[in-house]
Amino acid sequence: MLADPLVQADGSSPIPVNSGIGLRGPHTAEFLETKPKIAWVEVHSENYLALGGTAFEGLEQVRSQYPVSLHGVGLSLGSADPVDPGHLSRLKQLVDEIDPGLVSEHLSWGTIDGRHTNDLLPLPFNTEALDAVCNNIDAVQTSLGRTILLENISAYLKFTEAEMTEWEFLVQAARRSGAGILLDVNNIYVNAINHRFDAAEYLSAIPADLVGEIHLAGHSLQNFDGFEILIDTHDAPVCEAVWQLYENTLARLGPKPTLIEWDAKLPKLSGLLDEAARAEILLGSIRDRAA
Amino acid sequence: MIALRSLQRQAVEAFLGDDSAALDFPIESGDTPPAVQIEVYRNNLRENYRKCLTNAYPVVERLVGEMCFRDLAAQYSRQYPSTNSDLQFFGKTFSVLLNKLYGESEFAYLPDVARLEWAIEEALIVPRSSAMEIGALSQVDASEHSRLRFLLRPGLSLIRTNYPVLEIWQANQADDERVVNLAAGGEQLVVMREGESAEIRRLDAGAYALAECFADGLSLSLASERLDADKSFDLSASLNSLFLNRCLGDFEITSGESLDS
Repeated sequence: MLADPLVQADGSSPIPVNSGIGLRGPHTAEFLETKPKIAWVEVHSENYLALGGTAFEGLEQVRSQYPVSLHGVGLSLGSADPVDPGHLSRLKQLVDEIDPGLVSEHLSWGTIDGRHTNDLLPLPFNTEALDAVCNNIDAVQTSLGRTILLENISAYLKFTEAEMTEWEFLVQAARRSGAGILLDVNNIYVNAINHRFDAAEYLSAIPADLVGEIHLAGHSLQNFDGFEILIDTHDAPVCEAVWQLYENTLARLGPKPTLIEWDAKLPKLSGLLDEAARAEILLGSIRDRAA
Repeated sequence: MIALRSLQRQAVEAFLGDDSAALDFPIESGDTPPAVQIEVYRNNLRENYRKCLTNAYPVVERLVGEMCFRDLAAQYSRQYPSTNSDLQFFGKTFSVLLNKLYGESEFAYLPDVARLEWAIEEALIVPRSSAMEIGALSQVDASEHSRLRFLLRPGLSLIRTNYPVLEIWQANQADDERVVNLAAGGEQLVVMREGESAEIRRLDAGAYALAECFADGLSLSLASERLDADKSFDLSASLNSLFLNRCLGDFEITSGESLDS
């Protein structure tokens, strides 16, 4: 029986129930030098799988001073193929080295028959895909000796013949595999706009006890052949509509560790910390309301 | 209902294949036509791979310009598709494409620049190491010197170029306005991690050839055998140069095989 990803043996959260930031390479030196007052950080696992080099050494220093969450993009959990054993083995070594509070991966796929797209591609929401994803999560969790969190993705296409909704698929994948959920509020918003569903309906289907972390990020509106589509670019501040959805999320789920993600057109570190401070204020008000 | 594997194969073909790839896999049309939905992913993938190459090859991009680099990145990701779910490996063979495209042109120095930039990438993903000091050999009995095998430092790359690539690379850092004389010819470079950065050094022909022998796993005596035909080769001077240039990380004593064995 693998440990619950959302609580430690002493009942506490493996990552502080506060806001954190996604720490990217260009910010690492300044981060280590200034030691900002932030409760935790998250990094992309794949940037450190070499287990050596300047980036990895920076992460080791960060880890010695802050709780860290490892967030993966490369396991291709939803592939009809099994998880790449080489990739999984390197991830396990990284997890063993860093001893992160949380390990997460996307509920998506990117590889089939040895062809790699290196992207987070959507799944058809049917039982065959659910079986495949649960088998792969099981292999990952068994290898790591711990449970992981599954993140809902932004999707720009929707397969026909769905047997369930995205949120039903997410919850079933988590329930069946024993994994938790990393709820990306921006991705819910992006999908709700692009695929015209009610984000509140999505939120209402997510059980609070499954959610171990929340992601917030910026997106952009792009034009493809005259069609405007929201793209999860992580290159802008969190928009007001997503902040509002985050407040609704906290009101429903209670306070959860919340991460500000920013991956392109990076702001100054202080800009990222400002976004995290805003999330912290909202977390505080939910706590106050509950008290 | 289409099987998951079949659907994923078709999706990969649509996202990575030629523009004429079949688009008949099951996508809801809704408000946005399937072709547009697919184009979003094709664009995402192109951009992901381009950014990856931009990070690894900033000097090549500066030399060819952003638009040309964008086109090169698109060609590269089609002709040399990603072979790993970890993007850290993507771009390793970029110099091969550049050689195919520019090897016979006035831009024939581009593949050399790309090889240097990839070597820098590789140097930065190895653990910190220190160079072996020559004094460490004092513990080896003289009778064992011929069986010494030297190990190059982790992540060290050897690059023999046709053009003065180090100068080209230096001229494209910050606002260096120097003019590089391409006719100056090639050089032998070694790239390795020193502290927090990659260090690039020029080696003379003898030291470079000896380092290549060590990279091939040859002992000192076998390296000497291999390089013996070159009358100008000076084993002692070349070994000393490798020490001075901090290329050697460690040594071991071999069992004493010969080149023929």
